[in-house]
Amino acid sequence: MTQADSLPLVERFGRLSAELTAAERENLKLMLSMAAGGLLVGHARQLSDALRQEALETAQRSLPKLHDGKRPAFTTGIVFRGRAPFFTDADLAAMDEESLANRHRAERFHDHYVTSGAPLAREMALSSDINAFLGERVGPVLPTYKANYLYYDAPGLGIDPHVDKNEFALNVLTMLEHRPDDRHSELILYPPDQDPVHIQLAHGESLIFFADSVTHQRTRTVAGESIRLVSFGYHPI
Amino acid sequence: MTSTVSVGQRLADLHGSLSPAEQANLKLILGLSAGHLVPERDPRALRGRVAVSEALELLCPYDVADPRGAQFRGRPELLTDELLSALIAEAGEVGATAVPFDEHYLGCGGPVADKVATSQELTALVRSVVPGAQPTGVASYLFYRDAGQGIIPHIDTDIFSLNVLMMLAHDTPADAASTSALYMHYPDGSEERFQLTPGEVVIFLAGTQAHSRTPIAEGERVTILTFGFMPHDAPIGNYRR
Repeated sequence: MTQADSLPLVERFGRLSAELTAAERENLKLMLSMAAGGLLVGHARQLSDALRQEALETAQRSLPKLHDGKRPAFTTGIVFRGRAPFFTDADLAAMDEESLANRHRAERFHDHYVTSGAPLAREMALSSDINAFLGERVGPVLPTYKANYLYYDAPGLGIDPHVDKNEFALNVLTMLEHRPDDRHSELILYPPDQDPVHIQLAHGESLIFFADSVTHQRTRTVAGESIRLVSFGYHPI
Repeated sequence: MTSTVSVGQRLADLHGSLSPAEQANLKLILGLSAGHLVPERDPRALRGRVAVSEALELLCPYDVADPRGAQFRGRPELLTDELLSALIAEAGEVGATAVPFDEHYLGCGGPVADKVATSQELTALVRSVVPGAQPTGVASYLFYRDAGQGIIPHIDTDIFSLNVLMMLAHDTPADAASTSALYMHYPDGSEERFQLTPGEVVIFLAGTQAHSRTPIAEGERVTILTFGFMPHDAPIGNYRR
């Protein structure tokens, strides 16, 4: 057995990733995220809790390893949460308006609705203020030119545990509206070796996180609940 | 960096260099991934299915020409009318105490099923399509009784990595618009429906081939008997509960 062979499976995934092309790495990431997502929604219940937990931890801990050497130390995957200084009240109001105006052209993606590439959102995503803010925290990043409005505005909408595509490796997710005040749907992050992180974003609040590395979900909306978000994608370089 | 070996092959190579416990862990991750990828329709999911299927097929411990789909489907000679009646009667007894388990009810085998599980006739049938396979001796009755019960796409663990699935009974309401069926899901996104009739048997590599049962409707009931087989000289501990 070589030295590499004696490494735990998590480290082996990291090494394997380093040998892959970007497309292959994306493929491996999808496989691991599907395994983690499957376990988090209750697949393989016929197996013992210990086996399921080991597989889940392996998948969760391996996902950040796929980017070894290119990312800051990974804990929860959260880079920032709060009212971001790069958005003014006017910016938020303008995106809120554009989000509403574009609802009619949103397309269903899994169990929610998405409008991509609305002009204002795209322009905002290219802001040098955001780039500088992210650069200070995670090192240089490039905008991926991906800006989506997300709508969870009918009962039962949500998204099961997953990790994002490369275009949203670093995701700047901002809440535009969540009503009524009695909220049911929430964002949950599942960082490795830690309890899940439950997040209710306030109006105008942003969450910046490594969405391609930490498994996350939005739990289902109930009758009368409506959520609108805007999401910008960045890629660490 | 450019790699010339596929991701599936690399995962299979990785498997080969792991400890038995980590091999089981990797196999579980691949199986979960394959099952969860089935309903996904985008091109990314297609690449994922192809890679994970390739890895699982490379790890397939059975010597068959094509590990996909049914290795056998039909009413085997060993299943006489008398034996089928005895198994149906035994299923009735076992069903009374079957426990809810993952969207169906599970009952252990009984004397009749257990005898079939290790019979020379069944082993010969399985070996005629999957050379070298050995019975695990595990027989389980499965009952789908409550509307909505079924099983989502998945890959089985080692106990049923080679699965002999026998349909015992399928009762459908007279006005049923559609009926529950076994499906096999292929890496390219296609699927194959198996609408089995009582007495019909399907032998397939359930540890490699993603499969599911669509949910039953109100008034519909499905009773199945499954037998597990394993590769020749396999570590028996992996193949028994």
